[in-house]
Amino acid sequence: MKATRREVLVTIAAMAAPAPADGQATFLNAAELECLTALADTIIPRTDTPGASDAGVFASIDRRLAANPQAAERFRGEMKVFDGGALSRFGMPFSKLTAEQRIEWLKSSGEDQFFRTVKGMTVDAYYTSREGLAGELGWHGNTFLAEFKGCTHPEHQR
Amino acid sequence: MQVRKSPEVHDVVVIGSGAAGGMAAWNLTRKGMRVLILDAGAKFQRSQFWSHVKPWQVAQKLAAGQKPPQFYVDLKTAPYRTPPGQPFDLLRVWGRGGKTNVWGRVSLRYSDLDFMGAERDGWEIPWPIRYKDVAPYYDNVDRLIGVCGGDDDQDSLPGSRYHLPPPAPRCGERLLQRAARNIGISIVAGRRAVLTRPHNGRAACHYCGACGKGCDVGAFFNASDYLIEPSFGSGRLQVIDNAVVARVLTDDEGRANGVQYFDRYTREERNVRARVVVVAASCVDSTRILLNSKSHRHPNGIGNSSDVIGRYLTEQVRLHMFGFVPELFGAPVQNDDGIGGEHVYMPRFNHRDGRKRDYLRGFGMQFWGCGAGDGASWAKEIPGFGAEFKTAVRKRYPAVVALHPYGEVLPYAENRITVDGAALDDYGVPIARIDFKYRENERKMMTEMYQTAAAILKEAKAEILPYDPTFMGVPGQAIHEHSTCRMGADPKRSALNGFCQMHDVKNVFVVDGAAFTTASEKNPTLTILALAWRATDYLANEMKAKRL
Repeated sequence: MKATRREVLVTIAAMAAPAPADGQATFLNAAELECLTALADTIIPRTDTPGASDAGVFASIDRRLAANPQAAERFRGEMKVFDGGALSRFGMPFSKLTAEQRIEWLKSSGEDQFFRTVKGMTVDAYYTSREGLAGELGWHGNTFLAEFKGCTHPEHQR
Repeated sequence: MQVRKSPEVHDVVVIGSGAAGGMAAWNLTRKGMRVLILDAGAKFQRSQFWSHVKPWQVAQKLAAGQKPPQFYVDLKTAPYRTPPGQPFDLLRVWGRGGKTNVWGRVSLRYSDLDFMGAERDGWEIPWPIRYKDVAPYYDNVDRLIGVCGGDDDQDSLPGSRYHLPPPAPRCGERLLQRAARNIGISIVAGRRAVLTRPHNGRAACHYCGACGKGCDVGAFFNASDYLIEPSFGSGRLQVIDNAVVARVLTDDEGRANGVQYFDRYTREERNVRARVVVVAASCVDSTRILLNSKSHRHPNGIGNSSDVIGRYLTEQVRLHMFGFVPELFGAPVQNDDGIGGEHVYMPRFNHRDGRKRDYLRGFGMQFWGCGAGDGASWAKEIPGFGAEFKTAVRKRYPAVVALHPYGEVLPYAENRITVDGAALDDYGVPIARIDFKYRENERKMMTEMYQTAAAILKEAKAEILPYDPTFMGVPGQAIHEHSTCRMGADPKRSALNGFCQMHDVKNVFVVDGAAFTTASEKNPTLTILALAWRATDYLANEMKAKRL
């Protein structure tokens, strides 16, 4: 059986995906990295295409935080509140929740400020990654073309 | 400290190497003048541009410690001040070619609707020139640099016999064009300084869409490759790199006789001598240089007996609206890069329908970002998360349309640049303070700008991404500063004549956006090129006639 392009991409991504490990991040500690990865993967999960951590989103977010210490400290504070909420509700940090519990917690916490921050960073990182931009969305630009044809659909013309 | 003074007297010293300075140097060397350019930076190496670095490679390269050319000067090197709560985002490129290395390339001719705005509504002073004065120079510029676009000719957007073929519109642009036509608004082929076929020995665009990173083959106009490099062949051009100009120097009679600058890195002070000085350092920096050029003859800054220099700072006010057109939901993803930026333009129309507006002047509309882009930051505004969110984003990705109206900001005396000497840069030179605010006229125009963009999207049956109709944007972000050393017929109310020559000091010319009497709603670079060409034709004639 011939694998589809999407399946191949998922496989390659899963093989190549850097797993978050202690010492890999420059700003976030291991527990924070787990929380971030769990949240990013809930926002953009692996489906028939790669998900957020397949695309190494956490590394890009960590770099972004490391470059902006003020925003990074704010991020850390907001994460504490977010994860603390999960802990008091389920007795476990967000990263240890089941997929269903994660969704339940996000829905009940009303997609708060921290969620929106992480969603924004995840969107930026994922949809500019090879997995997200080329794999998921199908972008194939920034290349040499001899000619630009533009819109060729008669139904869009007049 | 001893100041190094060069004994040579240059015919003309040009401050700045962007569109304005590059054009001045090119035209003057061509006409036999010996020209020295003082450039605050150095040449950017095209081979090092990241034009073909994919978005995900950018992150990897940065992580590996690699860097693309640093076009934009940092605020430590080139600081300026703004009052609290009144930001102005000033973006400058120090280096050969200036902002033309990375500019938006939109090349719209001004019309008499722009040149004669003040005649019609009485707001501030009129331009001393008309379209017929500039039209031959627009023709010259189009032929020299290559501008693609439509040849349709409107009262608000003149055509050109010399445009290169316009690129075909993308699907989203076609659909907006159709929707706009249905509600009586015309969207025409845009005009851009991009080579859609080989021109004057230069390679045509290869549609990679990465113009903002600098073009690796020079297929859009930049002053370094198109104007300065060819001028070296004359043997009459010298460039001093990393020369950060502080002041225009004058003799006892108040005439300019040289320029003072500092080496960007050693901070050593140097002077050069000149018969004529052409100021082209970009609006804010040119203004700062002029205001800092104080002497007993020019206590208020050189050429500023009228007190207009620094005043009337204009920009453009804009907004960004996004939507998704239903015809393209889930459509096969195309390569929508094209010539980078939109292929269509909505010329100003608010003067046509006879309906009186509660504001003066007008707005046009640009459409960059229609179609499949190299990212999807709009997805932040798509609600939800999880597999459904992913599907929602994928479905909308080919269907993105983006509308960006640009409106004219009126000239106000209180919107101004000053230097007060309290704050100095690393070279000990007073920095600029920018006081700029949008006012009632801009707020009222913004209302119609929002309404127009929304009406086009509604007619296209587009899903509109949530927006805040009171958002005015941060001033400065259009990167179109003008008018702080404006031209005019009356020396009491303007600093320059119609040839960009100072009323007070005949051997100083200011040829960048600072010279514009008004901003209009259009991008200024094409007009800067045309006016700088015209000014230096005049300069060369005056010099030959021994009047300079």
